Order: sequence, then structure tokens, then C-alpha cells
Amino acid sequence: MNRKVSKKAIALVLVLMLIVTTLFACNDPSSGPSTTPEATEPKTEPAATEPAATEPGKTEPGPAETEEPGLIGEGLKAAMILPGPISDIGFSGPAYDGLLRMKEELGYEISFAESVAAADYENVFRTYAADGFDIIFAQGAQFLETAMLVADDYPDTWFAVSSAFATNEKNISGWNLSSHDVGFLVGILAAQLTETNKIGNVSGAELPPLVMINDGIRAGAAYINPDVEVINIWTSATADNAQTKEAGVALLDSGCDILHSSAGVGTPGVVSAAAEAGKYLIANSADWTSVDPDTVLTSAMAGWSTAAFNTAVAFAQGELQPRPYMNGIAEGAVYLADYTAKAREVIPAEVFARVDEIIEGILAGEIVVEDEVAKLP
Amino acid sequence: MNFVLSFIISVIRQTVPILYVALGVLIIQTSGIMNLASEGKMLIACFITAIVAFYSGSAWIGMLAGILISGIIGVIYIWLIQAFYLNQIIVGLVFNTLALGITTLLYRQTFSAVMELDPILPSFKTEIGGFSLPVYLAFLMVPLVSCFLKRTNPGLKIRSVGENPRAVESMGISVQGTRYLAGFLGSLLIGAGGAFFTLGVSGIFAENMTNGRGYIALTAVTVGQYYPSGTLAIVALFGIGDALQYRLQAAGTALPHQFAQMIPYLMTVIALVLFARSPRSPASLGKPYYKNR
Repeated sequence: MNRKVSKKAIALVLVLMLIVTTLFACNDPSSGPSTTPEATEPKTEPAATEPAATEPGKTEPGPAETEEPGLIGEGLKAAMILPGPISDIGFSGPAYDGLLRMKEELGYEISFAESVAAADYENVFRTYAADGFDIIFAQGAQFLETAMLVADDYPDTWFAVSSAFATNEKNISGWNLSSHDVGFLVGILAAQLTETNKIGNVSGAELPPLVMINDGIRAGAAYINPDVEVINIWTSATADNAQTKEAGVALLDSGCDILHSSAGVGTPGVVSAAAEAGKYLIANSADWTSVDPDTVLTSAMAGWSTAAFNTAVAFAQGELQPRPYMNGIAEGAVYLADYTAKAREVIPAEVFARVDEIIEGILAGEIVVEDEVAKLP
Repeated sequence: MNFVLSFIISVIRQTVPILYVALGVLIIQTSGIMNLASEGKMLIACFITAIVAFYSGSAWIGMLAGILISGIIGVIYIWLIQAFYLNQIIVGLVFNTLALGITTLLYRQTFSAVMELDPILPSFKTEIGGFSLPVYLAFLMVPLVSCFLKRTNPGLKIRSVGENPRAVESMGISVQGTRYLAGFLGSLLIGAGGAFFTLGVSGIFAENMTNGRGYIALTAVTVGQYYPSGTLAIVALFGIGDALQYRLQAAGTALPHQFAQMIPYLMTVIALVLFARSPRSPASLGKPYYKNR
């Protein structure tokens, strides 16, 4: 009899603990290790501009927005919904960095939700909107449908969705990266380096940004040499390193001699496949060169952080329009990361020169990436 | 020829970790305890292995740590189920969620603090024919586990407890004790799978890196009719399907990639339909055992 009573007591205590923790998690809008409830310290230094470099191959990215002295975002609340973990250095991580910059440089009060599953999209949007957040960022085209659904119910809340090419023209805007630009940079470099005329691409899920990166690579490759073939393998949104490695190996087996990875967290797997075969890889979105500096030559940086930050600045200034905003090479959001020492060793000087020449052409408006993509069959 | 060899290497690379886990699940479930927690146990083993291997610099020490810790966790898991007569399915699923949360949290605290990006872990140095030792050990485990279950005394006890615990109890053999043994041994194997997956296949730790492989192991055991050789066959089938879908995509065939991605799962379902006619699952699987009723 005693044993049964104590078991019931334990069960009751555990259930109470569960309820209490759930209540805590739900009530605290600033949940997440990065948010601090206290007021932000005043900062008056302008946002850092990338220093101009004279080394071959590095293009100076455009200057970041400088904010006025005093924090324009003070009193505003920004939330961000991420499809992956904040430790993902390719997609969710950079977006999260943008959110941190909003807090540190603009004075926003921030909150985030990571690894949000599709079934929870609407719930998370509504919770943030109901909690009085002024602007809700969502990283990924997959959020647009839900945002369109929810936005009408919260006309005073702004919804900013990345890779959004249409909006409701009321309170939704898009912070988009020109993924064509990202792919183009990869293509013009890879096409010059391949000897088998086959570039291998391991992509994540078949979502518009990744399709666009792939098209960008094809356009860039075609610009250099129309005979170069780009072979693409789609894995999945949750592809892990073991799977992406197999995809990389499959590409190498079918004759590719330089790889690219749009697989986000799965990129180290592709790097591993390239390293084992003694081939090279060009990454995108984040600086993956530190994973294996002898294999990863460079990365076509996609400035999700910059794009989100720019949106926040415009919003704080009251100038944000409900339309898609493109951020590409010309806006300084897309550029090639520093080449590794190995890259300087193996890439001939003419290749660097050609890449620089093309980038300057894009900045000057002589080469238009979108036109190059449109030429694709 | 090179192409075929590379394909075989891919299949083996995918198969070996899941094989270890599946054999471990086989032993545990043969004793009558459902092991849905294979996913979580594998993930924890991955993490422990990664940490120990990184700080010790040795792959074998890391693997050993992963195996042992997994064994201990296995025993705790069995204790939870037996002492409190819990629903084994729920405990399994909850355990998986817990494992995911804890490994993610600890990973961010440790590795992300140490380095900007994931550090590359030490690998197994000795290789025969291009494969490291744990690969050969995995295939060796199939006849070993089969022999253990069929011809040794403890193996017999485990099988009997799975079929008819009441009868076994009347013979004076402890049902709980036997299940602890099965849980421990099985979890050691699951740990080996996780450890090898981290060091021999992935090379790094990533959040949620097991990504459903524990569940595939479970499927393999059931569809393989609780034969170690059957388990190997199903795991290999899945590995072949997975390797095949990438090669199909790389070959640039007209096949839509969605179909290629379906292949491994399709093959498993077909195997299920063909071979799961008379399931050989242990009669007491999933039922809590009450000692004195």
C-alpha cells in the first residue's frame, strides 16, 4: 500500500514539474540564450565596413549600412523564426547573426525560435505576433505561405520572409539574397578549374534558393565555357553528413573533379568526399574554409546577416516597403570569401584575374547575372 | 570496375553503423523489451565518442568510451522500464527526445566553445584492404550474435525470457536479471554503432546526426525476422538503396530525383511485404513483467 502511494506522489510531482516548465517556456517571449532582458548599452560607432584588400581575388564588398548615432531600433521588438539550429553556419546561423546585430547595433529587443518544424509554423508566427513583436523575420521561402495566412490577422505586425518573391503588399516584405549571384560566383571559378568539364553540386532540399544557386552555377560555368556540365544531386532538408558524403562520392565517380555544396549543415560531408579523392570544393553562404583549408578553396558568401540587418534598419527608419528586396553582388551581400593559402597555391593567377574582371563587370553593370541565367536552356 | 568498387565501399560505409545498432536491438528485443530508444542511445554514443576521441586524440579510446557509456545507459534504461513497469514504447520515444536535447545542448556548450566550426576527429589508423577494423568486426558480429543467442546458456536464457518469462521464472532464473544482461550487451553494440558512425563514417559530430538510423535498425530487426543474418540483409538492402539513389541522380538520368530518393524506403517496404508474413517477434515483447502475480 505504501509503495503505491509513493509512486502516485512521484507521478504527481513529475506532472506538476512538466506543467510548470511548459508554462515558463510559453510565457517568456525572450526565451533563448541570446536574449537579455536588460536595456541595451548605447553604442555610437558605425557598423564595421570590410577593409579594402589588395590581394588577388578578393573583391571589396559594399559598405554595410551605417546607423545614426543613438539606437534607431530602441523600443522595437524583433523575432526570428529559423528552420534549423543557430549553430548551422550556412543558413540559420547567419540569419541569427543578423538578429544579434539588430540587438547590438540597433537596440532591438530580440527573440528567436530555431529548428521550427512545418507543423509549428503558424503557431510560432501567431505567438510572436500576439506577444507584440513589431517585426517577425522568417528565414526561408517555406515560411511565406504561412506568413501570408497570418499577416492579415495582425496588420500592425511586420513580417519579413527571406527568399520571398511575392508579398501581400501590405505588411510582408522579402529579404532576399540573389542566389543567382551566389551560384554565378561559384560557376565562374569552378568552370576555370575543372579539367573534366564536370562540376558536381550537392544540394539540400529542392527549394527556390537552392534551385537558383544551381542555375547560377550553370550560368557562371556557361559564361566561361559552354561545354562545362554541372551535375546536381538533391538530398533533403535534413540530409546529414554521411548522406551528403555519399552524394559527393557519387558525383566524383561520375567524373566531376570539383565539387560545390549547397547542403547547409551537410557540407562537411561533401568536403570529406572531396578531400578523400584529392579534389577541391567551393562552398557557399558561410566561410567553410576552416573545416578543411586544403580542400575548401573559398566560399561564395551569402550575406543573410546583412540582408536581415538591412531590413531591420529600413524598418526602424520607417522606410520598409512591402515588397521583395534583392541583395546581391552589387549590394555587397554576395562576395567570395578570402582564398585559403592552398587556393593561392593551386589556382593560377590568370584565373584570379578573370574572376576579378568579371566581378568588376557585374559591379559596373556590364555583366548582368540575371541575363546570363536567362540564357540557360 | 572502379565504379563497382566505389559503390561497394559506399554501401559498406552506410551499412556498418546501422548493422551494429541493429544487432544490439536484436539482442534487447529478443529478451522481450522493446527498444525504440535505439535512436537516442546511438546519438548519445556518437556524442560521447566525439568528446572523448577529441580530447584523448585516439579513436579507439573514444570508441571504447562510447560503447561503455552506452552500456551503462542501457542498463539504466532497462531499470526504468522494469522497476516502474512503464510502457516501453513511450519510454523509448521520450528517451530519443531527451537524447537529442541533451546532446545538442552539450555539443553547443563544449565544441562550439572550443572551436568556431566542428573539429575533425581522429580516425581509425589500422586499415586492411581499405577498411578499418570495426568494419570487419561488424560483419563478424553477425555469426557471433547468432551463435551467442542459439548456443550459449545466457543466449538461451535471453530467448526464453522473450518467449515465456513466466516459465523461465518457475525454473528459478531471474527474468529481470536476464533482461538486464540483454540490455547491457545490446546497448554495448548500439554504442559501437554510434561510435563507429561518428569516427569512421562522419568524422565529426553534428546535431541529430543519427537522423533516423536507429529507427532503420529497428525495422531491420523486425523485417529480418529476428535472425542476425536477416538483419544484415535488410540493413544492407537499405544501404544499397541509399547508395543507388545518389548514383542515379549523379548519372543524370531522366528519373525525377524524388523517385530516386524514394528508392531505399521502397526497397524496405517491399522487403517488409515479402518477408514479414509470420513475424517471429518474441511473444512477450513489450509486455511488462510482474514478478509476483
